[in-house]
Amino acid sequence: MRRLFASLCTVCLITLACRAGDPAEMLPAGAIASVQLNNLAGLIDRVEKAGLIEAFYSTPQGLELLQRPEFNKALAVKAIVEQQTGMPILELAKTLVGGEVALGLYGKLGAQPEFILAARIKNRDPWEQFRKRLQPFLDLAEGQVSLSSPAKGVTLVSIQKVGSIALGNDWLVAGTQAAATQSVWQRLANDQNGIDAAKNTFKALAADPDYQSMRRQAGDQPVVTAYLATKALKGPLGNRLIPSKMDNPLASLWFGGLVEMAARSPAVGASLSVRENDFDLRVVAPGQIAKLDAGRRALFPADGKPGANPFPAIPTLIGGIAFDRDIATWYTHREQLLDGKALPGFDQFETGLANILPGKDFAKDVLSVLGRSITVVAAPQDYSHLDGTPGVKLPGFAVIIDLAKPKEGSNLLNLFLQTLSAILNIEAGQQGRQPWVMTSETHQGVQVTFADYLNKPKGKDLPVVNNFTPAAALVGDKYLLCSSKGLCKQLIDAYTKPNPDAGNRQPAKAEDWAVSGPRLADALMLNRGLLEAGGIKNGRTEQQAKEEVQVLENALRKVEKVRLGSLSHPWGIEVRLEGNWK
Amino acid sequence: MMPFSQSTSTGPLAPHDFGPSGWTKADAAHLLRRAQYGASPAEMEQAHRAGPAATLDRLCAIQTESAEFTRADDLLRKTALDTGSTANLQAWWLHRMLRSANPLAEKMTFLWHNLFATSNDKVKDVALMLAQNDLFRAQALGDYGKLLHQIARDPAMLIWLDGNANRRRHPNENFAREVMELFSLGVGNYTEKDIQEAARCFTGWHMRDGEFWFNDTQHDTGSKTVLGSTGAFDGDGVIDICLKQPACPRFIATRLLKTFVQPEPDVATVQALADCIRRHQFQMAPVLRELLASRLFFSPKSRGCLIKSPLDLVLGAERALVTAPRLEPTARCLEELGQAVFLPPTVKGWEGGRLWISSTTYLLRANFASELAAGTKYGPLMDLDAQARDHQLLNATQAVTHYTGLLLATPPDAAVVARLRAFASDQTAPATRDRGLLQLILALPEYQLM
Repeated sequence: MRRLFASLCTVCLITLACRAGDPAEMLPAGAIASVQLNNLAGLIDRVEKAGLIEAFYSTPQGLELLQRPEFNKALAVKAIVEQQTGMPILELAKTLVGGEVALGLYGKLGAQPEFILAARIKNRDPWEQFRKRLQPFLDLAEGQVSLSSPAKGVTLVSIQKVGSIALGNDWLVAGTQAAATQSVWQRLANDQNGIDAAKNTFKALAADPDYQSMRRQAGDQPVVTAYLATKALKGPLGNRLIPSKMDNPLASLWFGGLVEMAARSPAVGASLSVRENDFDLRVVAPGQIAKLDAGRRALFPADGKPGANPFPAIPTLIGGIAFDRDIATWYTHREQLLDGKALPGFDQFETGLANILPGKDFAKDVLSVLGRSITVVAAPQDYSHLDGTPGVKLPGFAVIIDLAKPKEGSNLLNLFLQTLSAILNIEAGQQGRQPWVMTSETHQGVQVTFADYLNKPKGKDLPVVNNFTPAAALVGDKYLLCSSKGLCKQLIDAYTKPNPDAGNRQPAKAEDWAVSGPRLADALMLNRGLLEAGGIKNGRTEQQAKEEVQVLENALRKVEKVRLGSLSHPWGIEVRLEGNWK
Repeated sequence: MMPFSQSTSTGPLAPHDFGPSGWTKADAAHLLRRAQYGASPAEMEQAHRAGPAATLDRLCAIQTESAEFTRADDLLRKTALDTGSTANLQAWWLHRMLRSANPLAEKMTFLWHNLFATSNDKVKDVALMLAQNDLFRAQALGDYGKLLHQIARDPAMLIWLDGNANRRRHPNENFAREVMELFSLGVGNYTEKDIQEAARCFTGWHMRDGEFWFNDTQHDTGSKTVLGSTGAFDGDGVIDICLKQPACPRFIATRLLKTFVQPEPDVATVQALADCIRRHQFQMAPVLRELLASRLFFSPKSRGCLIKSPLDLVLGAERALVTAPRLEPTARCLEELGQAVFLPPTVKGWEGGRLWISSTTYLLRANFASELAAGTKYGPLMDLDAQARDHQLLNATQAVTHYTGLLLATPPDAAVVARLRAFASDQTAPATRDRGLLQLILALPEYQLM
């Protein structure tokens, strides 16, 4: 009942005046978690003016939604609310949710949580109108609720065993715990009536040192901010709730460091900022990377080092992933990082690897030749290696590996390429496809080893495998392993020149993911038929499937770039998702 | 429009007399459920209005596909070829089975696929499997004899039955055996010596670069004796000999009867249909026209007696009830129920009949009923509110009568009706009532029969 009450409070009444400051100033200190909204009116306005809602209703998914009975019920509720409040729903939301809202969760883990919601009204006139329209319903409900006027201009609605709601001239407070709720509305009432007394004793969440350390990193004017006091999330015996070992090696390599920083941090925060043509979503965890154990420190850039490499300067780059890891150290410490059941797989892997690399140890002889940085990129490719085109047109892919020991490393990786080619040639023979022949040529003074077809495959819609002509080259300390010779040459061109994006790479990134919307659209639309067929398989008609794909293409072309990265700061770590659109 | 039936037979294939009640909705539903994979309410309505002759004319002749179907079919087909994926190939065919303007042709295409069972598990080539499927479709309502000649040269079949291993000095009997045992005559109508001699006839019938290739250096040109005939036969010669055997039309007749009419046809019925097949020189369209217009087909004994295969069950339910079926979950469901198209379990294909029902598969069928009625996994259900309005389903009795008539081959017994009515009476909203009714009906033992 309390949770429902808290949810209803959140849904039904959110009104806020935009004053300078953090909405968390309204909440008492000691929250386990909190969410703040700031200036949602601007965002709602933008969504409305951009016509996004109408655009959604015209899509096949939107048309389907319009036919659902649940949606019709929601429209009926909307009509009732609009009639009772005397204004359209978006206008109501903009007017009432214009400024600041704060919702806090209090108590101890495992016990019944307590909620407090506080809101400042932006525009008084609609709020007054709303209060007047609400009053008759409150009067009707007297008996189930008790009404009082504890201060001038304040209506207090108390619901036994649930909580209370206080409505002021330009604010609203609701909560499940009477004393805490009272401390909040009392302060706002005093402020409203020009009384200073209560302010001195009220300790706000905004003054909490852990909250402040998170809030400082939230960026300017975020629309949404969230806060979680991780130190409060402990088990009954004080043990941490986030396990210290992972059971998935890949998850450990990707996220192990971030998860451990979050577990050790006193608080974790998130913020969403939306501007005219861009947005960013940040998740921060204050703490010191240097205090982590060696295995997890290896998952962050070394102190003072620039971290993940910038992407190669290829004009047609679709996107890529770059990451910085000391894989050898992580591997050596895997017993401390991974759950026991994940470890036998490594023994099997090392035994299997011995067939290709007899007399070699994986950690000492293979991983030790690798540097810290690995980059994976995708870019369009041509099909000059074919007398035709494949039915499914894939972009070219490349893995760029920094080598600590370039000569040794490139020999090892070339051996891997040759072995792979031999295995795939056996399969080609079984399936009646053209086998590869390993050959080489020189480009910009760099030797390129690549697989060429014995006879050029001919045809209009060749099998998928015909997208691939693996190629490899060593440029300085970078080993390029590519799915096409053309892309390999483009990368050689890029790496034999200075990179304009190299510049200042602080804060250092442990990983960096980026994708260009229009170029991704180009790559996908080469296979438009495949996407449309996917829609038909999902029950769409041919026309609906076409329209859905068109909607996807239009959306991708509007997004210029999306980027996700984790950044190492002196104060802690930040995971940032950002994007911009036209 | 042709007359209802041009058959001059007097036996079981004599044209059915619909009597004083005439061509009823139940007759239309029976015909469509057997000749297609299920039928929607609109299709049953249309067939009832059109009458038996017009309905049979439409079913037994190739109709022009709509432009929208053709575009969707082309997209799915290209996707299957481009990706080389069996799942995409299955999706292509399921789309045809559900949406084609030639549902009987699709059912016959599957009959040939089951007869000349070839699995992509061994062939491993979507393009070849697709070409084989096209071959079956081209002769779906066409010439079985021609098809038998063509399948002997089909590259997918040559891979499946090791055609390239059949050589002059070491004949491989695989294809020769299956031609006689599984494709044309049946067990007991040939000897081991016949198989050995037939294998010699097919030597050198190889595949090269994805096409049939007659490898003359590997062909045994000597004299062979097959089924009492002697000569320097090749593969075509063997097939002609098989087609002339009295057992051949009986073999095909048995297959047609078990697919469309009764699970255990008697000897006289088989012979009657075999005579029909011989009379029409193995042309399937006129044979099916006679069969589906016959007294035998419309007799009470032939109604509700065939156990639905997974294709009949799943596609039939979707055709009747789902507005936009989702092909991938459908294919997965068919695989779980034991019938993944393009992947027959053995050279014998899917034997079907009683083998479709076990404790495991019955539970899976019930799960299917529940998931289909929920309207999410397999696609949205038809508008049940509109059904209730259009058919005046104002109370539980009317709802039960409507949906049992739509879905069941024969009227259920009183006890079943009473239980369904009791359930429906407990529900308040028509949509909830009808959704629940559909789930119950689809899980009934009676629904497993057609």
